[in-house]
Amino acid sequence: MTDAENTKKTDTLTTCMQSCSGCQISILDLHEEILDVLNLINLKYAPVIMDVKVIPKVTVALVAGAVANSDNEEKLKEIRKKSDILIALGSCAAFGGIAGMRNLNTLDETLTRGYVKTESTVDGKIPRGKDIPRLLENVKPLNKVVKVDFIIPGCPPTSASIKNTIVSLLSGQELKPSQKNLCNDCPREQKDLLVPKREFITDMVYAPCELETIDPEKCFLEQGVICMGPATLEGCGSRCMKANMPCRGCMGPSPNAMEQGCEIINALSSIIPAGAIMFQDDIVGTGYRYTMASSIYPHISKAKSKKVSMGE
Amino acid sequence: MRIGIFLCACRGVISNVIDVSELGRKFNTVEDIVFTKTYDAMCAGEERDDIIAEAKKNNLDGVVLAGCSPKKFESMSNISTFLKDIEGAGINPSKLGYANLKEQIALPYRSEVKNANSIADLEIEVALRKIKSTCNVTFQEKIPDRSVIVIGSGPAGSSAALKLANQGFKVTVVEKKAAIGGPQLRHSKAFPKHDFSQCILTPLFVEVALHPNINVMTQAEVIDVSGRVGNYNVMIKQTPRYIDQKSCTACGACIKACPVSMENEYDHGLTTRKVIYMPFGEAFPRNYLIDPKKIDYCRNECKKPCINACPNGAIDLTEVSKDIEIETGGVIVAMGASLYKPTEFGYENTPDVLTLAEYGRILAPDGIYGGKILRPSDKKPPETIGFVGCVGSKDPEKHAYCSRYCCMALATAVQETHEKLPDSKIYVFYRDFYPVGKNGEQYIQSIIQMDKVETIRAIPVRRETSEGMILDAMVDGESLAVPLDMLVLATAIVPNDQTENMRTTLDIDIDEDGFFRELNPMTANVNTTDEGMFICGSCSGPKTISESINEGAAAAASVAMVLWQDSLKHEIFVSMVDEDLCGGCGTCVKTCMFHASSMNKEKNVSQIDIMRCKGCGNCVTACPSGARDLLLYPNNYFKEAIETFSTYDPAGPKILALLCSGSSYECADQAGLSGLKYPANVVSIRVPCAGRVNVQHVLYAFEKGFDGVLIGDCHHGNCHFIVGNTDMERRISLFREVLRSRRIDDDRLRIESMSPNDGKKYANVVQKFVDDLIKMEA
Repeated sequence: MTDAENTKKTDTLTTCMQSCSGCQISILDLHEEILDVLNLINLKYAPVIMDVKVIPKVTVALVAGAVANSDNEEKLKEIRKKSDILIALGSCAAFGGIAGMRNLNTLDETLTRGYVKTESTVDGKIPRGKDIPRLLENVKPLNKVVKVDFIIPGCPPTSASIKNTIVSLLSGQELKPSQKNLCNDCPREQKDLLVPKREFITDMVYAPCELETIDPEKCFLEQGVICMGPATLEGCGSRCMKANMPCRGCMGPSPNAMEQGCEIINALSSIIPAGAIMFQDDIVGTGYRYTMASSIYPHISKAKSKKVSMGE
Repeated sequence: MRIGIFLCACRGVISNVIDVSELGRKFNTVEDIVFTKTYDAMCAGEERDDIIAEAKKNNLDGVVLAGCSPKKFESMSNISTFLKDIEGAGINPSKLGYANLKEQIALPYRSEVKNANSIADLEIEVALRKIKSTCNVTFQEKIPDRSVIVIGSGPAGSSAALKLANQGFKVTVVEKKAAIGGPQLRHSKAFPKHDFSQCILTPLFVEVALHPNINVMTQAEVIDVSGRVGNYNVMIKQTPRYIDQKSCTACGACIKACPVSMENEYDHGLTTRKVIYMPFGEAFPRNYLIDPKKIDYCRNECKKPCINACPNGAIDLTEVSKDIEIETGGVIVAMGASLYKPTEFGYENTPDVLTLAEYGRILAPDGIYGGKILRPSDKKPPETIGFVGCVGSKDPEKHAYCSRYCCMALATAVQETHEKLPDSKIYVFYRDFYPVGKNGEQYIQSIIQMDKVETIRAIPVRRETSEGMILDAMVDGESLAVPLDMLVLATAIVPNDQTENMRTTLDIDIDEDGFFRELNPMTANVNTTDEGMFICGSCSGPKTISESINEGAAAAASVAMVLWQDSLKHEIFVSMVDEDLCGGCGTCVKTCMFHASSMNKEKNVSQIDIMRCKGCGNCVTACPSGARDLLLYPNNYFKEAIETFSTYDPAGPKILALLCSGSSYECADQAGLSGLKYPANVVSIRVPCAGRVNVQHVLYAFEKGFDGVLIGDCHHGNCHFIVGNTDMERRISLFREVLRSRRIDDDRLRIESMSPNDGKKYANVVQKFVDDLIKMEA
């Protein structure tokens, strides 16, 4: 490509904070369609595929991963300064993601569990030193540190949604993501849920592995499998449903909901026995799997509960 | 917006604690507030008119009334046009806000003046937020259907039906039993005239039976009601009689042929009758029927001799029950009550211990022994008869209330017994005599003064000896043993076993004792929270016959007052669906108790039947995508109210109370009115129902710095919206896992069930919560 061609393109960078890099692999998963994207952008910085040391000034920054340590925080602030549009790529960047679940422990507990108390560790030590970035007390989504212009949620976001966002953004089209919950897109059939009669849709709650067969065409909730679909935004293409697994909630809450964890409790309590849910399911883990760090109460209480000790 | 704030000093009750003039000055400068005005007493006539005039003159579109509890304004709605007048001045009902300065601030916090003033300020701020965050309520205007359904045909129901029918209303009387008329018909004499019940009451029931404007449906039950005042759709299920009413000539041949006998409920089970039967001699409708309880036996096991015996071929065992839909403008519930089944005095296993109602079937001229008083075990006239009052009543372990009818009924029975057995000795054991109605006192005195009657103020205990039964009692410190041939127990009135069932069908509240709850026991005792539904007679608490007849008339007048209007304006304050957000998960469909939610299959979004929606908000809470919202209590309001109240900064802990409007909020009001104090560490938000408590808001309150959250709901089984407190409890039990995960002590979130009159409980609950939180911090 000549420089003349490149100048017409939009300077872009992509990087990740605390993440598994899956979001960036999802960009690569566009396969040959990545050429449509590369016709629009000039990728100037992407540590996962190219070796550039200094963060350049760009128009669009696609940042994946959550803010978990001092290095993340510093880099993110620098990226914000050097970019016009900052897009949070994936659920960690948008909501804190899986890593956010560590907010339910103190930093000390997290480090001890990771470096000392791991079953396979002998004489473990928590690494400390001024060259090692300091872990933050709580994991944060990008928008708790800097202003975020758009989010592309998903774990990882579908390649199509990444492409669509970039293409429509750079070609000046309006971005109109759906605001409905996943049930709208889910191909499974609901029966009992649509009968206007007060009764539980299931008496028992099962883990998917407990069931000999899962009806691939029937609503998961009606089969007694806790599914986050009702409290989750659509847009993932119902990938899990089609693979016969319930929704785990990676797309985050609906725009009018304050958070996902409480919403699934509000919803399920009147349709499935609360006792059965508590017996089988870790409702906190299920409800906040991806959104703990952006929930209403995104950390543990510091002052209020000295009496409760953390069970290891 | 153009909002006016009207503050009330309440003749010093409020202004001695809260500086209302200062509050007025402060809010005068706030955005959107056009003006504020302070009155010495807002409820006086001139002041009321002034509020309306000011609203019109200043072209207001929002009004905040800062003074009494909103509950007070709302419960006045049947006697006062104030709220309607405010609406008439151009204020949409959703733009009328209340700041409860008196009951929940000035009264309980009267010794914490500084805190009281801070909370009062926030309370007005929250009222403003509510006005600003709610959409306008829409109206629907309809011509009322000038017909009424009366459920139950006892004295109260019959009285109501007749008074309406005579005014030209079309009345449908729905009676569950096979014949109209209440239980009193079976008894012998009734007070105050000491005349035979049948002689007094039969003319009333005959009038109901024959009136051209009254349609009587027996063996019928209301199974579903939808719609609003003036236009209800009532579904009635009618069980067949299995005998064609036209061709049956009541010859009685079938009864002779019928081979199966069963308990005769007309005689309280003291006698038996055939499965094919006539309820009683003067029954209306005067037709035979086959007891539906035995129809399966008749169809499948019996050789059916009745069919051959009937000369007219009137018997048809294949008949099935019918569902009949009736449109009506109003509903009067007069379904009566039941009697307590005693467990004391060996009632269950001694034939000679009877209830007063059963004894009535011995006394009655058509009684089981032909009107003679005989002892059931040996059919001999008893020489000593004992009567015991208040069996099951005025007893905190059974029913704490007085059953009202029993003293007089007992006196009537004693007098009649003395007339029939002048030589027998009568002992009356009583806790208290409570004469009711005209000549009540004289009536009681006349039996006290009878030679053969001995009245003993004691609660006796029964002892069985070889000689027979003996009642032991302590009188003035001395023990007394009374041997008796026969014992009659005046048992308590208890709620009908259908009350609970009808509560869910009609959505009428029940009180702590299980009776239907009136809107206001003093000023609106036949009204319910539904403007078109009325309650009368003993379904709303123990009543005498004459009281029931009066209440029937009151209910008739009240329903007529509503239905004579040319048109009725319904406020549609229902839940709403945002179709851009709804993904059709179906949670709301399953959650709604009133079948108001369903799925629009074409659009795959949920929809609301506004004629069924009661506005409780349970579906709004359940909606996981935030697609639903409640018109008068939107999600944003709660969020903003919590934010506003979170700025309150008392010394010590800070508690948010989310109080159900129908019970706990009123309970908190009552605490203030009763002169109770509790620490000013609690701020309250009214919710329409515990089912509207969204766990997100609870978590948000903790995030915003509240140290504790109190959810006040109704007692189990008393929820106005039937399942609101059940669903709330389920949500909270799951939500506690969330609290634990954040290491917030479980005990910081409390649920307390309260009844509207139990002010003491609210004060105690708050005091204990504050004390416990202080201990936790220490």
